[in-house]
Amino acid sequence: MVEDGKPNGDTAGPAVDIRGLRFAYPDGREALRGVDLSIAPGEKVALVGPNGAGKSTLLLHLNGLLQGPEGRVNILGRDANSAKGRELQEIRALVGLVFQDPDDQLFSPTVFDDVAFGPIYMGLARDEVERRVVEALAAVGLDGFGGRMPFHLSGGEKKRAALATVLSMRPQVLALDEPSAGLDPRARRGIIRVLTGLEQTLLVTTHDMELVREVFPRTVIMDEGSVAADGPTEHIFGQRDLLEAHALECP
Amino acid sequence: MAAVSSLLDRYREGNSFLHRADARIKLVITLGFIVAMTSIPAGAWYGFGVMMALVWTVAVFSGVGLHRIFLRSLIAVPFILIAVPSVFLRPGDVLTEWDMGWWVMTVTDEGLVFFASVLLKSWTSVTAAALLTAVTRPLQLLESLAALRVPALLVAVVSLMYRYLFVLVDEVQRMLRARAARSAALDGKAGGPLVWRAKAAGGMAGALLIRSLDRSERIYLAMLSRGYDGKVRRTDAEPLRPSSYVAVGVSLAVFAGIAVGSRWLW
Repeated sequence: MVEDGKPNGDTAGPAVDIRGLRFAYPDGREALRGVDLSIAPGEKVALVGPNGAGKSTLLLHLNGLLQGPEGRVNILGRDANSAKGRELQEIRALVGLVFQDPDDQLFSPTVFDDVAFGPIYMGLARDEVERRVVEALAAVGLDGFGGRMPFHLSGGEKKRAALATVLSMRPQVLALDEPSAGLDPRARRGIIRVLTGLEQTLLVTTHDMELVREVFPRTVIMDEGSVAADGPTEHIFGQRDLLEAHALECP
Repeated sequence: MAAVSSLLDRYREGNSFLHRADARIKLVITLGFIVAMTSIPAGAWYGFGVMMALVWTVAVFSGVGLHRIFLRSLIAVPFILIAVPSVFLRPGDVLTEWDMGWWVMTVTDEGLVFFASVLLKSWTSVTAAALLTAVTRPLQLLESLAALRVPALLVAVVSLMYRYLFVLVDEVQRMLRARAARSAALDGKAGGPLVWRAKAAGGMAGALLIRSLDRSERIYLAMLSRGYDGKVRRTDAEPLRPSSYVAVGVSLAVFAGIAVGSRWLW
């Protein structure tokens, strides 16, 4: 369905278009209270805000893991908020979602098995699967790590391996939850290098404001389940009182 | 991590022909060996001797170290102990009697033969298994199970277990460390009453269970994100070489020969 190196899906219109998205957890807590967010193809967007603002919950809506009772989550022309069955599988091939804890993301006995998991479920042939694993590991600087056990990786290597597990699916959109959390400066530098080199549309939640300034031209502040501010990163960072109002610090 | 490794990593790096051999044939041959071993009748000492000679000869060539294999084979000891009462309880020719006052213990010929046979059978079988795990990577064993048509779901469960045992042991160690850090003691007053300590331990076990459940939920979401649809899929394994079939066939024939021979010939 795709040429080598090119992500799949059509490219007309926004990559992600979220309109009026609401979601409450079964215990009644309202996590999303009408989120509106539009991201153009190839755009790199940082999603910041205090703990409990709904950032991670929003990411889970991008590939239909959670579906809200109200609103649309348009991913390249498909609505992830109402998709079922086969269409949901297609959306999951378009959106690469990486969880915060790499021990959740890396569930296979070896790094190879983990990176191959997505391609295998996409129904690709064995040699194509192997090609994609090699390609994805190279993209995150982990060439030759296929035979390693996830348990024996360092924190930074785990984070990068977790990213490779979705890159091998060649998604159009990458949604990452705190890719630099808990890393030492060198490992963090490695992740920043990888993020900078990615061509995909990026939506990344983080508390790492230095990371935001370095990698993301656009910043979205979320607070109490909706978008509180959205604009060019330098513009957002210039408004000290806005940042303080949402428990953020300017780097 | 070191503690975890020694607990779970049975594999010893090496380059013997045993290390290089296909894990699938190693698994089949080991299973065949154990089946043959258990089907040798009690008291067939020649049969036991030949089988033990076989497994220890192979162990010599593994380069893992006989001492290490021997230590690992001792894991069979608790199971062997279960057979001890048979020495006294099996009816047969009485060899000796001990008058305990309230009960006369009799050691019978039959009982002794039975016990020795159980001991040799279980110990030798465990030795073969210990040897297998010492020269085969756990992951290759998992793949072999799949290749041998063990249900894919079962193999997936075992591989998830293998993956998360490490994470779980890590988590336990962190909890224990956190508890130790707060277990300060005044002079002569340490630990608190037993009931209180038992409650703390129970709380830890409960917390671990709940954390594991939460984690399993997140893992499931991560699997769904990458297209998991409830069916376990794997890439096909490489086909076995013809020489592998020969190795398996010859080994199984030898084991069968020993088992049959020890029943009717010796």
